[in-house]
Amino acid sequence: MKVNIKSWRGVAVWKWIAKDDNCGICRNAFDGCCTDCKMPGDECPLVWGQCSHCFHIHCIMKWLNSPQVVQLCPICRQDWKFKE
Amino acid sequence: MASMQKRLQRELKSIQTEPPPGVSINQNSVGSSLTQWIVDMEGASGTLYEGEKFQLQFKFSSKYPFDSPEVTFIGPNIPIHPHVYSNGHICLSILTEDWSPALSVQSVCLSIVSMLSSCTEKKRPPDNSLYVKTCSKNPKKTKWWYHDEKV
Amino acid sequence: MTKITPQFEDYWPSMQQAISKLLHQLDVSKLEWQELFWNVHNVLQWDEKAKDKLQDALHRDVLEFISEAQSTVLSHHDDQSLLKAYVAAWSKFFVQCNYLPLPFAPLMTNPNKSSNTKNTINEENIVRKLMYSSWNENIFSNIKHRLQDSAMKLVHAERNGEAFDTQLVIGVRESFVNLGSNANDKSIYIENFEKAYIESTESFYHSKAAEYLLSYGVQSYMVWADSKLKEESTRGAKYLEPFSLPALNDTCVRVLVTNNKDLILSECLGMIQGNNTNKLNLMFKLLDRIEEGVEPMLNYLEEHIVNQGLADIMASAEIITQDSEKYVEKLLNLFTKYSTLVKEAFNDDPRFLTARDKAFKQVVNDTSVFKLELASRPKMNNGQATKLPPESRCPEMLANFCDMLLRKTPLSRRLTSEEIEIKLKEVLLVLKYVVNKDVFMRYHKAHLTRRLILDSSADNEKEENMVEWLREVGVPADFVNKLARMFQDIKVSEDLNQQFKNSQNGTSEIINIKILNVGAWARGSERVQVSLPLELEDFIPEVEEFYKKKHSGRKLQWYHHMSNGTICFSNQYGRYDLDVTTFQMAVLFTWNERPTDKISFENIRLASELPDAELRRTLWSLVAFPKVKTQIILCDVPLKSMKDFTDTTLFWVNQDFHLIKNGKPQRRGKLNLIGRLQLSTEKSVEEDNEKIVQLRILRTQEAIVKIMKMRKRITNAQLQTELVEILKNMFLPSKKMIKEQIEWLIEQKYMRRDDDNIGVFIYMA
Repeated sequence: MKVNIKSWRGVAVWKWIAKDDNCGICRNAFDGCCTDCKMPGDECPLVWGQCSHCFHIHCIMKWLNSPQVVQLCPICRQDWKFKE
Repeated sequence: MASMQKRLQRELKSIQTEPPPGVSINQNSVGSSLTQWIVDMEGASGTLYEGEKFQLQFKFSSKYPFDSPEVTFIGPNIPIHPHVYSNGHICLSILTEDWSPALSVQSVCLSIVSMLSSCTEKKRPPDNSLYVKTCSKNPKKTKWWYHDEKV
Repeated sequence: MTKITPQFEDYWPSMQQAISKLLHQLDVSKLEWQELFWNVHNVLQWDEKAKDKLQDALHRDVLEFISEAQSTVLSHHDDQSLLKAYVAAWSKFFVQCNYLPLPFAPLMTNPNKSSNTKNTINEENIVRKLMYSSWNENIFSNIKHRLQDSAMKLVHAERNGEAFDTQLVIGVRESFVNLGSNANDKSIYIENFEKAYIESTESFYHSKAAEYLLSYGVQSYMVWADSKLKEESTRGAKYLEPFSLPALNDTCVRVLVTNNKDLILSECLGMIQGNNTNKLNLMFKLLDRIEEGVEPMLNYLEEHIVNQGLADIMASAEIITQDSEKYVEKLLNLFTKYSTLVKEAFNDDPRFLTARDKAFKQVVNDTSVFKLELASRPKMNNGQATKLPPESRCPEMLANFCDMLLRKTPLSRRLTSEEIEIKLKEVLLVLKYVVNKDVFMRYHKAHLTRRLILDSSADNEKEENMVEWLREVGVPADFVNKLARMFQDIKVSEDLNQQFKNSQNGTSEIINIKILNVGAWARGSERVQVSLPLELEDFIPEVEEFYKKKHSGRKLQWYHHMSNGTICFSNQYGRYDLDVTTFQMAVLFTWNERPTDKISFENIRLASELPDAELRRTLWSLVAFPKVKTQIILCDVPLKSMKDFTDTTLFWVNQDFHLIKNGKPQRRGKLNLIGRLQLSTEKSVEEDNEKIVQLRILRTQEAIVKIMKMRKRITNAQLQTELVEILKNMFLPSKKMIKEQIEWLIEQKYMRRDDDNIGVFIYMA
């Protein structure tokens, strides 16, 4: 008796690689989406700063676009620069 | 629901289930739109404020958390502290220019508890009487000149 | 010629001659006719007293003529000849009443008034009035009752089938109409002729209807009544003034329909049961003439559909609870049958369509045959346990049937594309009546997940059409968008697989990966540990690495409970391709290095690393797979339940495993051991049910807040109505749940009760 694999159909879900479970701004899970979106995933992506903190792109953009003098990471207060 | 309410709903839940020591949310003060909360606070033991009870009022604008909340002490007992005016206004940089959307009601409460706890002498700010006479109702309108870090 | 002013007396004799000719309907030459005009004009011009004299003289002559006519008419003694003579005389006179007044028009102009006032048109024609009133006083008023009675007798005779000169009745009516005190006064006609006509109609049919019903029964009676209504309407148009017709119609309907309503209705249910559409149509037409007439019919229809539907389902309960196709077929037969009935019998009247819909809804959502229990454990935000009343399994059955149509199954292979499309549309039709559509959505999504993961869709285009059809029937966009997203994930995964294969050197041919968007797919909650066969183990990091490069910031999390594959199993009998789950694969590989060993449950667990429950289920699927003659794995305990497996239970490969077709052992063959692909573990099925309940609670809260925000102030009843409306495309909230959520929202200060009226809620901003 012998068993060989002819084909395999693997199933996986993708997740964001983030240190925390939740976005520091909207407090929603990274597996979920920001408060303005309906479906998590490609429509509501995460972005990383050079400080390595990450947020929903919609959340950080709202913060960076709000009237303020300097653009800082909401968590570590370093200058916010998008990670390449 | 607006995103501000969604986030506050989340905060409310977390502060109800895991309140920071000495801090509790006054359930009856929170309306359905969540724009105003009152937090009960106790002076930590081993500090100058041990056994005292205070009330903090939070007011949130629709831009919260991108806009800082308006936070003041209210009620009969305003802590006597070099950064707290007798009208309840608090001189604390995270409430204005150092605000960040990653902060929350919980973290603001913790900052205020620690501000009180680190106090070594109970006294009002030196410019208290002038400030209280001239200031706006909203502490966020004050151009704070932050007191020396060493209280 | 002596110069004297012309006097009335000079003109009258020639005028009189012409007048007499006119009254007697003798020929009047054109010249005579013109002269009459001229003379009237002249005499009024020159003789101041001429106006009165002329009127008097005219009156005298008319009276003289009338008394002649009177003696002719009254010489007849029996009523019929009297009527005939009267109508003959009246007809002549009636014609002359239109001519004779013409030359005397100048009599009407009032010399005291300015001639500009042109009110002559509206003024009564003095001459005609004089003619009518003379006629009335001298002939008609004395015999009008006799005439009327004779006319009614004729009508009565006509109803009994005798023919006569209709002019006789019409003439009498004309007399009544025209002989009023003025042209607009129809009271004499109304109080006499119309009244008598309607009364005699009523009394005629009053006895006739009862008689007819007694001798011929309801069904013939309806035909008869319908024809009589038409007949009387035609007759009325002939013999009555148009304005009398509504009153006549009311009377006919009352005496023919209303008075016998109960008897007619007593046959309604039987006709519905007998699908007697023609008779029902007649009944509908008759009863629809009276107010609230069809209401009882609506009730009969609704009641019957519900009883019939439930009886049908009950009678074949055993088959249809197992077979979704049969169930849907049963429902559709019912729908078609009664939709046809409503169309043919009731012309798709909206009231009957509503009754049909109400009944369908009740049948579809009935819980007496099979029910779905939904409950949530007390861990909701407000700590309350919510147990919902049992629900119909209809939505689950509909989803199962959709799956049979959309998946590669014997059914979908048998049907043409058009037939499948028709059947899917039929499912959507039934779905319209399902109150808890959220249950359908959950099952539909689970089935779609399986089809996409196993590549078992019969027709991809149809799959995507179905998504759009669901959108069209009002399934909430949130849900439909997620389905669309699932298709997108599959397409993106295909591209990614191609890229992955290109990046490798041919070694990855056997691998196909599906990468899902976690928010869109049916949630398989926890990850299940499993030790993969070595060949696969090596691929995993390669795929992960490849994905990371493609999408920075993302990582993969494997859903091995959903993944699956095809293995080749060979032994002395032959080589067989087996479609297996990854768990089955892992278990079978335990024997790869020791093909003839008997291995204990415990050792298989150690080798496969599967959790106990999953291993039990997987082994059970290999030792007790339905529909095969020989099982691939054997064990040393009787096959009663997977619960009987202990750590020491031994399992071994069945060396005699082979496939049989048409009674003959096969050397080659394919077998699908996957069965129904597991989407989640046992525990999360419960979680799934709970999720439905929780989602309902959440949606109810949201909807209440939304309504309160808009209305600010609302009564309890109104709130419930609007709530049901908002949620209708998802589920029907139970009264209990609504009450609980209102209480919760009051506690949370979203709303409060009015101090003066606890049945009114007020929004709190």
